[in-house]
Amino acid sequence: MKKLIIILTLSSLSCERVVVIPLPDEQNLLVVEGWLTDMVERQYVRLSRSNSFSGAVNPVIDDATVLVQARNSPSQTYSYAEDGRYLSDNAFQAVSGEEYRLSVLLQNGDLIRSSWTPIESNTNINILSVDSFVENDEENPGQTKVVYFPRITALDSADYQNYYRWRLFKDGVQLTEPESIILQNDRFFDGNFIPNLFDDYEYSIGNNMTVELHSITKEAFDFLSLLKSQTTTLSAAASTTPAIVNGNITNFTAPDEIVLGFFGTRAISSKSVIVQ
Amino acid sequence: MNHKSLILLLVLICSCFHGFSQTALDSLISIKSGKYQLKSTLQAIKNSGIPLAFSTNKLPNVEISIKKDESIRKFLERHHQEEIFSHSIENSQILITKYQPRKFTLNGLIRDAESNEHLIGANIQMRGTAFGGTSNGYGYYSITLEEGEYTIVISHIGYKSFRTKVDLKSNTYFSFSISPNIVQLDEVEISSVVHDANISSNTPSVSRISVDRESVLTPYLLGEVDVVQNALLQPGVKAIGEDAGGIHIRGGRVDQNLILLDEAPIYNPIHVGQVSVFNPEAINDVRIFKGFIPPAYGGRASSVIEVRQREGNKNKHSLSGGIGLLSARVLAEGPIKKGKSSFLASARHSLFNPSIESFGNRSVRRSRIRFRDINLKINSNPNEKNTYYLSGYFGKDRNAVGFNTTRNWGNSTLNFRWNHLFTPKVFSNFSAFISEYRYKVESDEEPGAFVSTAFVSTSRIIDYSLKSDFTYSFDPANEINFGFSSVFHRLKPGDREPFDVDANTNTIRLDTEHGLESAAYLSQQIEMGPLRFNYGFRYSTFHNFGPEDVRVYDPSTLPADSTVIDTVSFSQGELIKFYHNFEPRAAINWRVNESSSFKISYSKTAQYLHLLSNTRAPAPTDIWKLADTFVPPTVSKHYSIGFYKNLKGNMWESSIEFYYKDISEDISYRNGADLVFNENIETELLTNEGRSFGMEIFLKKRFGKLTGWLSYALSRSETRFKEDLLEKYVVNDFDRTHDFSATWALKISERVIASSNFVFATGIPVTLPSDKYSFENNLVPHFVERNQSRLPSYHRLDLSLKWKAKKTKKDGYARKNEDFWVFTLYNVYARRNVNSYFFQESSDNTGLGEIVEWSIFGSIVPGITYSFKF
Repeated sequence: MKKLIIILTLSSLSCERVVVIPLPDEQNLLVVEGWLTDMVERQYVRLSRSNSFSGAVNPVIDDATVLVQARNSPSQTYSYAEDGRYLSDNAFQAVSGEEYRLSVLLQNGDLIRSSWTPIESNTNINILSVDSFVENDEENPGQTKVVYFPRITALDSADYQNYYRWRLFKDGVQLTEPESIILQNDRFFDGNFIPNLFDDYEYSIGNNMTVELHSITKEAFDFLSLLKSQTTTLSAAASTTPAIVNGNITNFTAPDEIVLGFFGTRAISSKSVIVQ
Repeated sequence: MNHKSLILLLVLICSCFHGFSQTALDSLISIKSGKYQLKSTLQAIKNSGIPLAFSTNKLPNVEISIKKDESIRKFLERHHQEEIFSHSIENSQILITKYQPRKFTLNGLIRDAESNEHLIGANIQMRGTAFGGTSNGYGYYSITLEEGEYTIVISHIGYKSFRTKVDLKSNTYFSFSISPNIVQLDEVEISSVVHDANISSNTPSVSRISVDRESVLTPYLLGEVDVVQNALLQPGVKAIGEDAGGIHIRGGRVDQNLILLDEAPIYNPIHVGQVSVFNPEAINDVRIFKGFIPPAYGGRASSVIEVRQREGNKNKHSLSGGIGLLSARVLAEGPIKKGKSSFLASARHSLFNPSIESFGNRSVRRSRIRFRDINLKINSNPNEKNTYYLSGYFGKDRNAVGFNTTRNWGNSTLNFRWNHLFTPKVFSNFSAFISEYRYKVESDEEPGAFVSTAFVSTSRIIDYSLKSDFTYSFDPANEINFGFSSVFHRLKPGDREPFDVDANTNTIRLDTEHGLESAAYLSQQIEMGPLRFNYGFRYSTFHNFGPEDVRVYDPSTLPADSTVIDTVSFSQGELIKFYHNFEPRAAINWRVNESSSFKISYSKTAQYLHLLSNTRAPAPTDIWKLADTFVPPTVSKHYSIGFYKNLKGNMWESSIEFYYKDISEDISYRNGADLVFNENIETELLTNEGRSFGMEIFLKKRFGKLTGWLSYALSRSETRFKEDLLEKYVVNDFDRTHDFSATWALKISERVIASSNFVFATGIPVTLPSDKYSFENNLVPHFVERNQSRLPSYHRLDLSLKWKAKKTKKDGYARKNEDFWVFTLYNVYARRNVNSYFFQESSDNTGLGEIVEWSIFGSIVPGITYSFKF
């Protein structure tokens, strides 16, 4: 609720402009992004470095040794593909009851590790249906258009605290507007159908509508919540205060060095439909 | 013999003795008229059977006269007036002593002559003496003086000073009525009677805002006049930005101000932006205790803002009101029984709904803001000894967010007070009040970005309180105050229920919190030569009661879901946690000379409830939290010293003050704290220790054609985590190093007043990112050090013109009603004051960061209001 900025003003009075201001020295920190899924596939890890906020595109790391270890099963090795992404040499899946850890050996000899993480059990999308509403067509004044959006039926497990993340795709491309990270926990609907309303994610006839429901760990949920708060409405009076987005990665060789990012797991349930 | 009959017998015996001396007093002297020696005369009277007692060596050797048919009473009285000897009656004896002047108490009310409303803080001065005082929060005064003739001068801001002679021969109840100043300001009689409260008051660091129609309150945005806006022009009072409601006093947090409306606490004083809930039409007086907090007040760590509603005209009915771009207001008042009782009712409603369209990709689509205030007050002053007040405030805000969500919130208070005079020297006040703050969020359909479908969530805090205050005035230089108060807090942190019982969402009810906050205080105000002391203490206690289930965490680490080792259940009324604090308070005023004084003060205060808000400025839907097992009370210690000097017959007031404030157990939040419907909120909280210090300079011109003030504060407010005392302090989000304001009003003619307002302040701290990185194609800013930089300085000039309609009609007759227009220009030179920076991904170049500077006002904002009074 707080992310909604409530201010007394007239839209014509407020103004925005891009400025250049001196910033603190860049840190060039290692950034890890990686997920294991419960689907048999080539899993990925992405390695990059942070750089000056007003600087160029982030540099990627292409010469690290990447390994995912499991407590009770063989380790999986990864090889560099492109754009900082490393893919597992073999297709594999994360399984319930097992715990996984990412290990990265950098060229300078630093050993980077994530904490051990389990994978949550999958929550099924039972039904994906298409809903719609009519609104004025901004491109053709005087005309109206029909906007389609997904309605999902999925039942939350009553046994324990569940943490979810949604991803919506249109013709295979993830929709990132208005939100690219959509999170829910079951505090308000434990054991019930998971409420959802995605009428801001617009589809048209002929689109392939795909919805993914990820069951994630509390650690992943907390990380993504914080990350989201730090990328959306930062800095206005009604917004959260800036903070470091703490993840679960540590530099074992140089423990004082911050490593950004997260290595987590997600159990994915997916459904697709062609809008007709 | 039982107790009752013993008491009855004692009373009878006493009254017999009393009766005996009374009869003796009325008997005639049995000595022939003529001149005699004093001592032999007294002996002769004694021999005639009158019970006189005297010591001959203490009486003067003088000749006195005996008059024909004079009673003993008249004889004694005449010689007292001739200053030869004094007498008193003790144990049925008439005791004759050396002449001593007798002391009597002059007490009563100071009122507005037109409306009969009681005046708070009016000054009473005995001309040619150092004796004087001020009327208290109910308009009552009491001064004990030696008998004699006095010229009394009553003065008050915005009123003509009033002078009268009083021959004080016995305890006298005398109520004064003084007239509002309607003559031009520069015609006011200027003499030593103009009061110098800032020099003589023994309560340092008080900012006073007098809200009457004639005084020039600086009009703010859109021509509205507002108490909070005016408070922000005082040294040491700050806000974080134009969109942020809370006020920070001397480095304190928003929830550390005790805001009282007719003694009942107001939990959220803001409607929107910096528009306060106080309808200026219904407000009489505002006092801000920034430094020294008198022992009668407590419960917040930083300051007290005391707002008093007007009482209503006791003599005639009137209707006043106004309309501006933002709101319309109307007020009706008048006598219920002329001269004895009156009522006041006022209402204010927002007029148009300011709205904002979405900017950037932020989730603000459209907001519609509405508010209203209703103020009611009835008072009755049936006799000299009793005054009764019933006052209420009912506020309501409704604010639509996006298309489907509305937020409703508001404060309500209902307050009954009884002022009673036990004796002319003992003034008392008894209050009972209920104060409530509640909010409700309704959403028929929430956007997918949030959690659920239709629901309503509510939260409220309700206080039931009883309070008593007593003032005992020995003489003008010695007064004792004491009292008791008890507040029962019932706090419902949150209920959340679906509209539809079949809905997919569950009903959640967080445990209600119960707390009893009690206090007793005692203080003395005493004058010794050039020194005035105001010292005392407040002892406060807090009981946190069940029913509640309280977790037990592993004591070796911070509370977290993973460190719970047990849960303890407390039944209804069972004590969960007890806190208490001894809060000494002291202020000394050393009056160096007629026009200057030094003041030094110390205050310790404890706060047993906190506003939980992890955003830069509080939102109306933030919840309050009582102190409990995990959340300790905040304690502050405040030291201040100041020098005060008045110039040119009190035309100019100046002061310089220094302060240091130390705050322990300040509440802060973990990174990414989840405060919404969290049953175990302690897992999200941390405690800090804070400090603030600064210097404040104030210069005010009080009368003349040009009036106004300059205010400057140099200050710092900072905190550090309690866990790591080696960690360095970080400045608070609301810290401003320099804060300057210049507010002037120029009376151009009888009908036209121009005013200007210039403010300059250091930009608030901002945390800048050193780096950016990409996570799942989201551009994330990375912050190294919190609040290491600042926004550009804030400055702004506002101008306004008050134009009064003619007082006479074309035919020369006076108009019955009066009205005026106010035209304002806000942000005259259209400065784009930066409110905040947004760190976001460039819309043109994916993967690159850009810093967007956002200003709430990028242009000049005109405003107009119309006000009337019939």
